[in-house]
Amino acid sequence: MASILEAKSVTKVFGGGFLSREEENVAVNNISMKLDKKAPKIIAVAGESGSGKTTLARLLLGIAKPTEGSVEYDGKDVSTFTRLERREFRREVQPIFQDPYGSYNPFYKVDHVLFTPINNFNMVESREEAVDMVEKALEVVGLVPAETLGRLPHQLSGGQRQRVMVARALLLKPKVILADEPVSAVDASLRATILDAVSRLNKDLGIAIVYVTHDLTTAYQISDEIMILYKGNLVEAGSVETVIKKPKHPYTQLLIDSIPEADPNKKWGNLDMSKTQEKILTAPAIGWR
Amino acid sequence: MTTKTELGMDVKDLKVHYDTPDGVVKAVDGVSFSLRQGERLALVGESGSGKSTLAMALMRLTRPPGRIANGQVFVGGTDVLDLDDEEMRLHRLNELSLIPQGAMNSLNPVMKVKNQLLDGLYDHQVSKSDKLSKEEEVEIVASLLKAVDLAPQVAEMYPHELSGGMKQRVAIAIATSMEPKVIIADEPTSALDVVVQRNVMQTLGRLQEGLHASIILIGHDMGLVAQFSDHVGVMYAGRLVEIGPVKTVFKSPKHPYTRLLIKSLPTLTRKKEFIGIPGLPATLLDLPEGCAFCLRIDKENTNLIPWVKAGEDHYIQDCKNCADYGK
Repeated sequence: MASILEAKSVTKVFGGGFLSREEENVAVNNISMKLDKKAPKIIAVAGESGSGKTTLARLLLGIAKPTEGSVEYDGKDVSTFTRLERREFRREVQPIFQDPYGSYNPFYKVDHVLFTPINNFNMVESREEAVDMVEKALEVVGLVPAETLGRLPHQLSGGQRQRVMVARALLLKPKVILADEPVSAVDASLRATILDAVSRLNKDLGIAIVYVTHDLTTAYQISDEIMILYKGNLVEAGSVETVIKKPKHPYTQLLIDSIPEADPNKKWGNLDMSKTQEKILTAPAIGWR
Repeated sequence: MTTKTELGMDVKDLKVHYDTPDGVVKAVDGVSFSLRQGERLALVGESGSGKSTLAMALMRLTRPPGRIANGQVFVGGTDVLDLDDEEMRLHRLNELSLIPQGAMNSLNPVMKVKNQLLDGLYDHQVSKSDKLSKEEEVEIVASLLKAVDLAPQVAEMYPHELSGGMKQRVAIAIATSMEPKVIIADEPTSALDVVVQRNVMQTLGRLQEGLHASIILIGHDMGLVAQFSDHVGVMYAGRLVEIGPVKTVFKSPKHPYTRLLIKSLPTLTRKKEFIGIPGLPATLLDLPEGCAFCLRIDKENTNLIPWVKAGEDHYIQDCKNCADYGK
């Protein structure tokens, strides 16, 4: 299958070098994954803190270099890109980050984050065109341009700020969007609208999406495929229906078991962590299925 | 009929107002509820619904420009809003304790865990002359840590040496150290992963049962609410719109806001359309006397909305105008 973005046996190790005082930390251990070029899907990368999911996202975005293995964009190794190729790559693979405050300069109106990329990538001939693009993008994510533009970040709610970030991501007509916990910092009741916007980017605009999260429920709702990471290793991967409904690896089973289901008739069971830990550490990884 | 002594807490018409240059913000606008001893009540609502403000008010930790504008809060028969500062200080931790939001960030970074546990005990004990011997201190600290599944060695550690889950357990240990009657937990697991969250909540639940204390769990994770609580109260725009046994409220929510809240939750049982809650949360500056929820769905009802019994132990704000929304 021709891939638009692919990680080939990537490993990322922090610290532990000859002169380093830090202990070696294998953040990502020999992980492979690919995003299909012809049939763009939503792939969830799920795991707890320290599982390596954000590091994997950064490797895919090309903002971190793998210690071993390679990341390929449209068949070419990202580390061999010319400046021009890198610029194209930057435009075509867009991130959405977790913190709906951190991505904004609080002194600028939110218009700034929307118009800057358009200008940087010379996407339009006139100001009117730019305004038109921005308004359309805001409408796709369910925001009213007149109520959003001209505001400072603190004048919008967390959910609105995050949706502006989604609008920004799609302005550049990317091929891939990497969303790192796009709804964790937002109220549970507002997540649905943001996830709906992200889902439609895939369904209506054909953008491939990597959805990094620790929330298996939203991963289930929006993704086609899912990868479960544990301490830097890929322990289970496959179609979201199979992995979530019939988990094989004990870690996946533990994760799913621990999700608080919004049904008072289905309570959490009691957990014996020591037995479970042992099972997790000794079980073999279940590949893509 | 439950008498006052069987009630863990009885809140009557609590109002918390903030005086701002733009006017009075009614963050909590006349909330009343009772909590039986040993009961687990969850209070849910969106950001801005008033739930954290309510938690702080129950502890009398409201800071200016906020002030308690009205109400009574009975804990073990005493109205804590009526006590003087010193009496209230002793009540805290002893009778009524708080696990604040982001509790792990509320630990003192330059104090060892054991000293933070002892600090609370010494500061809030009724008799100032009771200084414990070194052996007694070690014993108490070890038993408090054991109660939250932490090894005795943790006593000698600093907060930065602990994981998120461990820090949260220390916060729980502090909050339960004096065996209070009521524990208020404000989003106690919001930064934790599901597995750690489950462990921490089960620890908290065990402790609470052992003390026969009541818990008020504040949050917006309906999943956690369903798993942990017996009763749930839903807040909107500073008011309680529905309260009842958790099974009843989840199965047949009677207030439209509760209905929408439950509908908007993603589940693992089947994939479905994303159903968000339309509109924006109410601004607490211009709250109408009538139904706040009607405004959310572009309707209006300016009459005072009655608090009505909808079933066994189940009460709602009954606005005929929006009652059927989202059915």
